[in-house]
Amino acid sequence: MAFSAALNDLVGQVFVMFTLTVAAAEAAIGLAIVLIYFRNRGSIQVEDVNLMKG
Amino acid sequence: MIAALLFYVFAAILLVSAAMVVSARNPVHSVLFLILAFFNAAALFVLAGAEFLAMILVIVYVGAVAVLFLFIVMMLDINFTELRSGYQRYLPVGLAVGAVLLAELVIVLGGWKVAPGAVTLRMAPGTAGLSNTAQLGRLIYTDYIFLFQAAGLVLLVAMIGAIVLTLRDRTRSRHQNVARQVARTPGDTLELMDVPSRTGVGALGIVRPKSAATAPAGEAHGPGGGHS
Repeated sequence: MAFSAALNDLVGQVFVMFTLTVAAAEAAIGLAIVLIYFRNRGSIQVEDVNLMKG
Repeated sequence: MIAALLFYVFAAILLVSAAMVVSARNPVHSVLFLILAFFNAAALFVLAGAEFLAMILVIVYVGAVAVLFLFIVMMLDINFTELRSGYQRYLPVGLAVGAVLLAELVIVLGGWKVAPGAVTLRMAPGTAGLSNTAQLGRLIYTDYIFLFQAAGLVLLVAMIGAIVLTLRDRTRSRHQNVARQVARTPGDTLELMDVPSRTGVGALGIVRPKSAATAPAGEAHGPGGGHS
């Protein structure tokens, strides 16, 4: 973004836009995972996350 | 001069609010500080000449993502005092990782030099006389159309994934089973009978339910059975 502004090159802004898209998508997925984990276990304590331990 | 002053003001507020996001006691306060950080980042974008990205940041991130965070934080009943119980214990490790990252940044950016011919190597110099939005639109819908479509696909996959993850079958609610309803034929539910005059349906072996005995005669067999 800063380099794009310094060099007057618009590709940097395009890149920032796609980065924002991907970040929003993965934030949504991460929150969905936290939500179903909370729904299943009633807690999101990191110490208690051992569901996949054999 | 004023631009530089504004840059430092917005950058300082951005850093302070970002620090408050991770250190606020109340998670709702964290999300509100996150919104403040988004606004300051948008102001920095405006200062850097990217008006469209600034507006996108305000609309999408403040309007949608921050509200999503707020919903999730309010939906989850989290015990945050318990969650940050290891704060003191993990502080040295976090500080060490942060120091390493900062050192890497300083080393890389300290030796940074813009090549003398960099200005001639630009991929898409801004066209004069067009607004920032128009310039970006010309670029996205021509040179980067496949990346644009791929970004749309990423969002679609994320949407479907979030729905699939959080959808649960509500077994207790009464909902319409459309397939069963459409597959019903009159032969399944209707029975036509000849009733001799003045004998009543009791002579045909149809015994009325007890509860229906007191009901009005027209509704004795309930909806659908009225022809017997």
